[in-house]
Amino acid sequence: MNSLTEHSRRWFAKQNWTVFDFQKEAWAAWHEGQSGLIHSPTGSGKTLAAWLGPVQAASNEWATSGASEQQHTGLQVLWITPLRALANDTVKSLSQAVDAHGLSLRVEARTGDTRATLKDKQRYDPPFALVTTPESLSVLLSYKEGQKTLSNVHTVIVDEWHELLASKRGVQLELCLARLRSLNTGLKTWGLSATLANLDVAMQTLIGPNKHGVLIQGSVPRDIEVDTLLPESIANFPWSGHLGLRLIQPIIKTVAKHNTTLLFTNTRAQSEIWFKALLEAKPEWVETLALHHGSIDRALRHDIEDRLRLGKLSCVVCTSSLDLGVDFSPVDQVIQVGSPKGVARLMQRAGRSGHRPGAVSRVLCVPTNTLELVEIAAVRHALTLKRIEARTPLTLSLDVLCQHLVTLALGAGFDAKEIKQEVKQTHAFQHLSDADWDWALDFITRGGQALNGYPQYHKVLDVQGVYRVMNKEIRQRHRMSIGTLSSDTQMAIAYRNGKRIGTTEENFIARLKVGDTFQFAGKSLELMQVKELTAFVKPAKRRGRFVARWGGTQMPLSTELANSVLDTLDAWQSNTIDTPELTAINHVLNIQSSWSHLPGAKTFLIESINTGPTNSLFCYPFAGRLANEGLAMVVSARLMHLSPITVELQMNDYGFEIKSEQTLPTDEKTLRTLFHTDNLLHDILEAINAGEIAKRKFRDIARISGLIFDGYPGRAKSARQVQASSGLIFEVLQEHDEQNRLLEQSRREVLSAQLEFKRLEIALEAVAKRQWVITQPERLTPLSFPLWAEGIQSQMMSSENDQKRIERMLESLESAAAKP
Amino acid sequence: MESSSYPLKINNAVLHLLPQNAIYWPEENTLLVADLHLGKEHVFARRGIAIPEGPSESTLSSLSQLLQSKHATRCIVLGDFFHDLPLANDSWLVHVSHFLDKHNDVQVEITAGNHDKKLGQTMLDPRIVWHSSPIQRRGFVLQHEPGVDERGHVLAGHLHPVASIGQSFQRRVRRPCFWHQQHTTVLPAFGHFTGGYSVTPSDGDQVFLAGPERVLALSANALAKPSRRASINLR
Repeated sequence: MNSLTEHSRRWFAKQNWTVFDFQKEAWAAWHEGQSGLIHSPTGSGKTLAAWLGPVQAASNEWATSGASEQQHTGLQVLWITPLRALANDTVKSLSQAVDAHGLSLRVEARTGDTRATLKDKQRYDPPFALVTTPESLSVLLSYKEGQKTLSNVHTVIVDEWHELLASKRGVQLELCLARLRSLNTGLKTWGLSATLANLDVAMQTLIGPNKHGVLIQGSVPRDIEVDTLLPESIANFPWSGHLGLRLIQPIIKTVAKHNTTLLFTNTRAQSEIWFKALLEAKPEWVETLALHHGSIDRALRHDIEDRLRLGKLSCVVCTSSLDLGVDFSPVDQVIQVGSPKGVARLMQRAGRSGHRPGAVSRVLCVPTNTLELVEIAAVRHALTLKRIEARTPLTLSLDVLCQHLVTLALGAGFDAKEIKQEVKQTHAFQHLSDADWDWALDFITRGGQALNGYPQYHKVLDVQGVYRVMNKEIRQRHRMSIGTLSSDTQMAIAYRNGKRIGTTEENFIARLKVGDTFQFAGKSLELMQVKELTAFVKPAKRRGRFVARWGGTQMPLSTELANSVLDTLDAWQSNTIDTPELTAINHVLNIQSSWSHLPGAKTFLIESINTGPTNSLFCYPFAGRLANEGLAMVVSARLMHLSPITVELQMNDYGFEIKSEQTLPTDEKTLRTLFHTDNLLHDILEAINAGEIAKRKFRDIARISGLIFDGYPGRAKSARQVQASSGLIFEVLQEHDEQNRLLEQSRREVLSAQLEFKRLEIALEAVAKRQWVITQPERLTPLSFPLWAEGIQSQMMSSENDQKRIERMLESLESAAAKP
Repeated sequence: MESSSYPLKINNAVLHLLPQNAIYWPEENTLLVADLHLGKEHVFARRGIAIPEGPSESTLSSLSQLLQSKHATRCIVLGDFFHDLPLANDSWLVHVSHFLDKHNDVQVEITAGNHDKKLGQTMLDPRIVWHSSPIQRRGFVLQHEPGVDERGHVLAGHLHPVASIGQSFQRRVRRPCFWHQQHTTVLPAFGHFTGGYSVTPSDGDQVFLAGPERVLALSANALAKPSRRASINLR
């Protein structure tokens, strides 16, 4: 098989590119009609590996048939991208390859941003390839002609599949792919992915379980060198966030030494703080310093990306908003502020810098507290061992299934038997029970079993065996709601002339008074007026007092990295590691060992400490914040079963604190009964008031399944009569339709996502096998201090006193530590 | 049940705020409720949103229980008795008639709210007395929307007031409430399928949290404002 046409060869030569073996492998596999997954770091030629197969085939076809450019080929290739912001750039780079092969075939984008006229044209005169998102693909399937157009597609390429894999968007795409496979049985599906621990699962999820696929390893990952910016002096007692900004001067120095720096932070609020600090230290950088995060208006973000690509910026402070995206070649330095919390995440970010082949990716880590130095050392350790996180695809998301079924019913309609078989071809629904399927069908046709009393319910009708939507309003509303991206109530922030700056949480704006100043998108703004869902602002003369806040929790420390942290601590103890990070905090680790004990992979540490009026148990399972939270709740609930007791809880990535004014047990035998794994599910459901959390989790499920409709402010007035909050609907369902399987799904999601139940269970099993060390230090230790301080801070708002209390405690600890 | 209500004095009259989102007025032997939004689930279902049947019926049965326990002879609904124009075969119309059969001795009067469409009123059981203007009684003005009226203290609904208390997000409790201001007192929504509007009390206002067991008077700083983690002693 001719896997490299003359055109490709000439083009590569002209560009001075080498053809990699993995590219040849991918082209050959495509020509054989295979599906598969190509994994390698960004910027390594993955795109061409997947794209040139179809292009070469088109080129060959033209050569043999001698067709003129008028030849109508129909839509042949779909390119799925997770970010619609990437679509236009992708179109450009795909088109270049087409042109280089002497083809006059169109590559076009079709996303939420595409003009309606172009979308219409695409339906009757489709291009050769469409670059689109899972949502837009779904919308296309909802049109009768859309399915007809799509039946011609022979290849689907899914870019950045790892980004979609573990989300409901992934499930949505799986369902769409199953439909495409039914429309064209020879469909080839190719995925492009970053490195993951479970690549085989990632591939099987994409191409369908039990189907044959080829896993192609792209160019060997470049080595990643992790450097750390070490502070001159390091406090013995880490306190979150207090170290980072002190390092601003050395950061300025290194930014000045490089052409373009990407400075990653872990939260949007942090990026605002760093941007402001940098600008205050270097006002002359105002033209070349930029801020980029997901809540900044899209137009502004595009502008920043363009300037970044042109090399006009010296530094962009950003969040995961720049984890993805086409290459920004001018970038020659990546800085990570705070622990990356995961190995894959650091790899992804490190890969954003300089793409010279063979070059090493470098990343400079900036710790924001003392213990993060251990995490940085641990991340390096994990990288050498290639300990990378897995991403687990979701299963049985009935909300997505319900949405998909209505989507199919909008167009030509569907035959229930046929679609049931099709849906079961996906990884997500391969184990779908008949009962679940029947329920979903019932839900879209009758509204569920409890709706027998409504003669007039008619979302989807069964018309002689074909399920269809006949009502125009329902069709319109459904198309507007297609997608699974969550949409918490966000407030738009705009100038008085209507120019949008971005969005933030409703809650944050609610805390402000008119005239208050705040920091947002790197600007100081003054709140003028709040009108419906828009906060109108003007530039403030004074500095912003508050920093905009966004919901969503920080990513917990990954299991892989947590284990590496324990290994690293062991290595320090046995003197078998020599890294600048650990050397820098020798004294901290020494205090921890001499006052209490330094935990490791083989020991489980509990510290019982009396801090004045209260007793505390500090336990360190190293299970990440979310699982530690669940553990804290289970353990304290069991404690309350032993004897009535009032406790307060506090947790971080390493462990948790149980604080009480009453006496807490300290003997291993009693403590072990609190950490056993029997009845874990029961105990946790009892402990967490799961109903309340599930109710909050229900919002997305309700929206995806069509129970709530966000509508569009000002436009869909008629929708007002049918608006209700998801919490209210949850209550109504609970009371009047408890068989509704979406309730069950919401409880399931709370356990898996909110509490990382699986991880919690594994953590308990691991803890049981370790050797238990229970210490009773006289005072707080380096490990317990951050938990204690966070507890004090979160209690009340009278912050001045708390601040003093923490500082007094710090002082006394430091002076105790200074004694020989 | 008597002890769980909260006696609120307004202009020499005593109104009993009940944890069941209603007011009992002993002098008039009258039960006051607001915002039932009957038939709301049917409106949703008709538009293709799968809300199960039941909230309307259970709202009426709550009202029924309350009337029985108070031995009230009159029930005044402060508007939004139903959600939208019903269809002739909506089951809740029948439930309303059953409800009236059961409480033959109770006079049911409604001051029409913005949801109570005229045409809809005529489709309901004719035993209901509809008022298109406010009801005046013993220095009180009963109407749907809160406001200031020189003829007396306004008792109203319309807003569906709710308030949140609690320290942390995890333990926060959000419940319907009575919102008492100088010139007007707003009742919580009585319907089982009604949302809520978070109150923003001004100085001098009083907020009473309704239920589940008791009515709880909240001090202004006990309300969980988004800005502050308030602490409240629930005892």
